Amino acid sequence: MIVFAASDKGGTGRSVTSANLAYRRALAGDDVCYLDFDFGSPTAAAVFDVPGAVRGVAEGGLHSHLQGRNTEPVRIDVWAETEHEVLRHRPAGAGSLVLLPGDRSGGEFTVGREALRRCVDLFLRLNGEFDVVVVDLSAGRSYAIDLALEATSRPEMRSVPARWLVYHRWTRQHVIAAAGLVFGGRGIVAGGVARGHDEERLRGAIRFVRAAVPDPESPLWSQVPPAQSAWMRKCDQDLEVLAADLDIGYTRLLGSVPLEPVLQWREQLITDEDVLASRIANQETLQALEELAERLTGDEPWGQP
Amino acid sequence: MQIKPRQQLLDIWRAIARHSFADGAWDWGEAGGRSSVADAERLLCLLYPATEIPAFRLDDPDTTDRDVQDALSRAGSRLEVPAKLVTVLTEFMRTHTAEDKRPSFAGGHYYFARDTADELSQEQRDLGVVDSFSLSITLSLATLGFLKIYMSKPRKAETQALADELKVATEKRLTASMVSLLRSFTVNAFDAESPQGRTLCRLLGQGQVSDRIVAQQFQRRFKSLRATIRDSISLGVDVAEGLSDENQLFECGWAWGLVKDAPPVRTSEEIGPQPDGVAKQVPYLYFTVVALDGIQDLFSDRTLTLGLLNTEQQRLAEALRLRWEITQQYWSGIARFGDGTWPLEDIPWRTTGQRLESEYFSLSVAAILVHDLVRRRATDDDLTRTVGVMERLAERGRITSRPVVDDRAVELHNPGVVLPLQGSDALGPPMQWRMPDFSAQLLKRTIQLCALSRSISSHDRLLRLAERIFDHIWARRVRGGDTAGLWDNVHAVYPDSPPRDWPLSWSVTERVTECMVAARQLYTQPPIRSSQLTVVARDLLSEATHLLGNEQLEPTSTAEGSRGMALKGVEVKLQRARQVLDEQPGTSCALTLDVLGQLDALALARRTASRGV
Repeated sequence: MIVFAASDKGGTGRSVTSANLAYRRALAGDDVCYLDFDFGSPTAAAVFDVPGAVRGVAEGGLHSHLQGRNTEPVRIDVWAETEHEVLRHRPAGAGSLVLLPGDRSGGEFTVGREALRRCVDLFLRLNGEFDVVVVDLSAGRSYAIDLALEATSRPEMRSVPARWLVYHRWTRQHVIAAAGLVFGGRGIVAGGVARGHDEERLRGAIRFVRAAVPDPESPLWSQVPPAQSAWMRKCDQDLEVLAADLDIGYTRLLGSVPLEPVLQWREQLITDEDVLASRIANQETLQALEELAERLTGDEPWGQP
Repeated sequence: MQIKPRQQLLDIWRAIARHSFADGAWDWGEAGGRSSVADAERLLCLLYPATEIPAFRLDDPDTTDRDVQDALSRAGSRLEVPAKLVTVLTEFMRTHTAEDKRPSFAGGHYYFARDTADELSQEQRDLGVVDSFSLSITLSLATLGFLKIYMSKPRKAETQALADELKVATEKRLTASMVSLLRSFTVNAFDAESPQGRTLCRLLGQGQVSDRIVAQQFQRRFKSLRATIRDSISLGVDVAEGLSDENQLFECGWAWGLVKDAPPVRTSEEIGPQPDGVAKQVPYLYFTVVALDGIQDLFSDRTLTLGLLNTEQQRLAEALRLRWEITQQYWSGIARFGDGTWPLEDIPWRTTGQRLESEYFSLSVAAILVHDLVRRRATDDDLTRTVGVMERLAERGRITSRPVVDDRAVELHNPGVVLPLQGSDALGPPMQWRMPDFSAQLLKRTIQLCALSRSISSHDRLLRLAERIFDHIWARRVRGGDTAGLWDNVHAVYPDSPPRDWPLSWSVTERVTECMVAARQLYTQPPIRSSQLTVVARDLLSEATHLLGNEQLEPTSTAEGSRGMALKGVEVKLQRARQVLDEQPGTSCALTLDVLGQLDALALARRTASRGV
């Protein structure tokens, strides 16, 4: 299964949350592969603490592969090469976790027929090899999204299940932007339909993830003054209504990740140790990520609601 | 106990979810399908709040609030609940369809024989009853509105198919129930010398005025109403000949079911054959109130804005509205007849048709009066008198007072007031109907009246009365077992009353739900303004504004300093106080008083300083 991670704005926690999802799926036993399609700034490797690829690899990354400069993109086995203390010990029963980094000197490029063919080949190959392929697309309505839509519309890709995650923060602007990215005139759905996707099927394959959501009910916010709490609840309700009006409400929601300092500041994987031993991360965050990872591959949350 | 509509409604929903959704799937249970009245009441416990209260909406899973979702968690996730509702409603429509494809309004096990030895025939149990017609109107409108919103977004194919079936069935049921209500409306004319006439005259004259004079007053009082009925009511009813005889007295309202010989209503809608009625042409107070409650939903704001009625249904609704208005005017006139004490204040009321006496009938008349007061925007004088009636009913019904040994009043609650259904013996043994919901009805009318009241003293009296009745009702919830949290455990308040074999009553549960919905409306309107407080608030505000101006003559502080901040805070508070002065003079007072204290602290400090040097 291929999972595309998109967002309209930067700072939505797209990379860090997707990486955490990949990690959770690997822990659950799936073989997982993570593709850094953020051609502008390929930094996904930083989340996995892989040295030498923190800002993309010097050569042989995805970028140059798609442009035909190398036959095989660089692969990094995260379990083996990470500097993260906990990650270095691959837990029993965990699947493989492989990162395909971008090139350091990348940049956006237009999609030619050759690039498209290579992209389709790559997807098909990886899909055969891995259970879950996470493709981290750059923010905004980018060429990467076009490439993904184009590739998935090819007849040979029809049998490969594809799912889209659209990340947005829980604010007015982000909600509006996320809805625009998907349902807008130049949005993912319109772009997909123009490339031959079935509209209903494509809509059914898109789910939203709310990131950095301050939950007024959570212990983190239980100590705020009553007036502030009342204000937060009202804002939360208003946002729910706004989201529902834009059709990105609960029915199209895969999950929410609470506001979490570890994600916000360190942009790192949240391990069980972070929650249980050192306790720097909140239990709720871990639960939210686990639930997201489970719903990501389950069938029940997907399809026409 | 304070009435907290949201929390208590959630309690009720939680209990229903626990009881009705065994393992997540709706379970009709043993009693399901045996009476269209009980099944409709049961569904309305969920659908009525969902229709009337925005926070309880189930048709838009995207905006469901967390507490509502938690309350229904046994029923499924917020996405599942509406889909399940569609299934359950479709099952309801299928179950309550007769063999000839017409919607069935059977009273079922709510009917019982006068002599316990007799067994009612199936034909009798299948007879439609006004309760069911009226509930069907509310339920159908709720369902149509629910579908309209829920299906505005694409849903799963199987839900879509069910929803289409449900919509057709519901529209048919709605038309059929309107036609049935038209055919169960009746006008009964009788001679002043007949036993009925004498009962009515005695009721209106209260023993003070001779029957002949009462009859004359009656003619004068209801002359125009009589003319309206005679000239403009024809659909589904044969207005009795007697109405043209000016010397005859009359009553109007709803019989217990379709009236005998009621002509079929011609309609372009497909509703199947219209069965013959058996009910005698006598209005019942109880069924009249039930019909009035249902009919008013036909012209609610929601029905209009969502456009739930088609042209034909609008025509029927207009005809019903006329009967609704006339009936209210008639009974409101009867309740307040004469110059001195109202007949309504002479508790208990004695019905003319069945010649029965009970507090329940006083309550029914009061309920029609409340309807009329709501419609006419009552004067506070009428309202205050009704408050007294409500208080006395609660007292006499042993809700706000303790029952004595072998108290007859407890029979109001257990086993409940029994009505003979006149005309039902045409098909078998005579049938009866039981009303065990005195307290819930009383609470509902008290709350409605309270919402209407704009004088602080009657509002306060009514609210306190409502809270006491609510205490009584809340104590009557079933304690344990799978029906826990539902009604009606009457022995909790009347331990000595006779045992009964039905622990769960959907009628009472549904009435309580209605009460909670009414209570919400009570709190959504702005508080009553006290003119006295407004005067005080305005004077306080004037003094505070002046003192603030004075304070600002002092040398300016740096904006971040504590004095600067304090003055800024004072300005903001005064602004707010001025803003809410008209709506909430009390709040305005509180804000201004706080400001006065703060300003005085500064002034006092300066005075102390000036003395010291």
